[in-house]
Amino acid sequence: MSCAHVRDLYSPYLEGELDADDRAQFEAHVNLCEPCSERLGDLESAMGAIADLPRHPVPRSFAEDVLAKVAADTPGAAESARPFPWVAVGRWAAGVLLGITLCLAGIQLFMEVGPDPDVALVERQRTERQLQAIQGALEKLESSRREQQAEFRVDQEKARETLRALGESHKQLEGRIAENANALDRSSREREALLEQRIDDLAKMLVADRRSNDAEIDSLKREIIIAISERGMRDAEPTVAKSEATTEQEADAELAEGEGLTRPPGLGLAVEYYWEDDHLVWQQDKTHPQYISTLFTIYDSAGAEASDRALWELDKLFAKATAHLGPESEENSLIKRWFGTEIDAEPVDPKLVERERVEVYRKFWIEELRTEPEAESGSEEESGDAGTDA
Amino acid sequence: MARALRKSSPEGASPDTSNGPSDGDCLVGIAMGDHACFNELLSRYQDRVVNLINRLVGDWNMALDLGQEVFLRIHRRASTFRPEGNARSWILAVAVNVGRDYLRSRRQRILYLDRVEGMPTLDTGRAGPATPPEILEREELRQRVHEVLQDLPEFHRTMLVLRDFEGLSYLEMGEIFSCEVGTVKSRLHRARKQFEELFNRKRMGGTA
Repeated sequence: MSCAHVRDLYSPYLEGELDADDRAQFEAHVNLCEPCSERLGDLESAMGAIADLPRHPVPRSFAEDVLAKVAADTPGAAESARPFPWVAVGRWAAGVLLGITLCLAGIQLFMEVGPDPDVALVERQRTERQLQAIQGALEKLESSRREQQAEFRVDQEKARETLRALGESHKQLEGRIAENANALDRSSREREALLEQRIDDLAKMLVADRRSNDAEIDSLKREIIIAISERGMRDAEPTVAKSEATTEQEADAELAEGEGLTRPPGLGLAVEYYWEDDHLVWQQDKTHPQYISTLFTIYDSAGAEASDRALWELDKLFAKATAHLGPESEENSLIKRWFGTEIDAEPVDPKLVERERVEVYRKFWIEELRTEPEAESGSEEESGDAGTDA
Repeated sequence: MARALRKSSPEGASPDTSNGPSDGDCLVGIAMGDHACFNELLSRYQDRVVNLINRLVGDWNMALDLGQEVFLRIHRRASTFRPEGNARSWILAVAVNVGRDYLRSRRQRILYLDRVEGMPTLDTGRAGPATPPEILEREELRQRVHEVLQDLPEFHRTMLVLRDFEGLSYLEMGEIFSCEVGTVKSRLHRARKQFEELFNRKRMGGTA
């Protein structure tokens, strides 16, 4: 058994918990090993010293303090837990016991001494003095008891007043807290209402702005369309006047200048159909399916004057589109048949020729636009629409 | 070479209950609002509780304050005592808990303050009449033991104070710490081993 192992067993050994073998080994080691023996002895005496550490009596005020705290902790028990009866009664009882003991001792002394009058007188006087001293001590005890009782009552009253004051301040605080809470609640409700009102106002303003903007945009659109239409009409008017009053040479010259310079009649109305999303499409390509389709639409649905102008434009476009086919072509022979030698001449039979012309134009443009490479898919339908609408 | 550490049975250190209700009856009475029972228990245990806490915290004035807290807790929590339980263990457990709560709240070394000036002492030492050098030697030993106890970790100090100062049995300590007797033994042996090492170191340092 090593010293370290033995040191581990000090406590079990001192507690008497080692079995016989371990105890024998332990004691054999300790008997031979002086340091271990010394340390074991020290530990044993230290353990004894712990047991002998001084114990102090608590002061008398301890119990009074505890009882006062308990009474304060349980207000209903204050009366029965007041400390003074026990302490004071104990002191008073001790005094009475002491007095009785001394009296008995005096009487016994008197009896033992016998009836010697001098001795008896001396003893009696001594006993009387002792009794007076005891009475004085008892009176002191009684007065101190009364003082303590009075002090206790004063303290009790003070404590009650403090409690009452605390209760009142507590109520006041609660009231103030409730008032503050109400005020907070009110102000938060008012703020919420104000915020909601402002949000509503802003929303209304936004809606009104949006509406006025939309209305403004609509009116601008209308103004633009009207302006363009008026412009188209204005551009067309001289042309119409010219067409009515011009000579054949002037009409030829005009045709020779190209189609871009003079607007077709009724184009101002046709422009409205080109309005897409937010921009205006001004179609300058006069062989564009939409343009041709518009001309047919104008011809079919507009008034007589616009229809005449559309037909006039269709005549010109047809002549221009078929010019490259040569004078022997079917189209040019048709033109000759309709108008004689010159395209802008008065038709031979206006009513018959007009219906035939328009039918020929429809078929021509349907075929022509179908072969247009850039209008493979849409032109056919649009041209067809133009035809069917008519 | 038979040695016996226990100088008296644990019961020998218990308050006198021969002339009144038992501690358990007192606790039951307190729970039912009987203030006489509380006064009885207070008179029985006030010295013991305050001295126990004094050994745990090393400060007599603080022990007085904490002792009041102990009895206040006893008054409040008497209803949690089970009549079939050990009343003394229950009361001392309250005292130990109050002392440990205080030490945990103030994790600082408690200065040694054993004897307050002017305070009456009640020497319960079992030694007979001693010559002055013996008294001096005994006081030195007490002083050193007390210092070593205060240097120990709080849990080890509690174990040694309950066992050696209070003279509690393993069973009672197990009730206080809510653990088995075997656990109490092993903890006590560890505490005592550490105490012995510190004590030996201090002795060597003192003699060097």
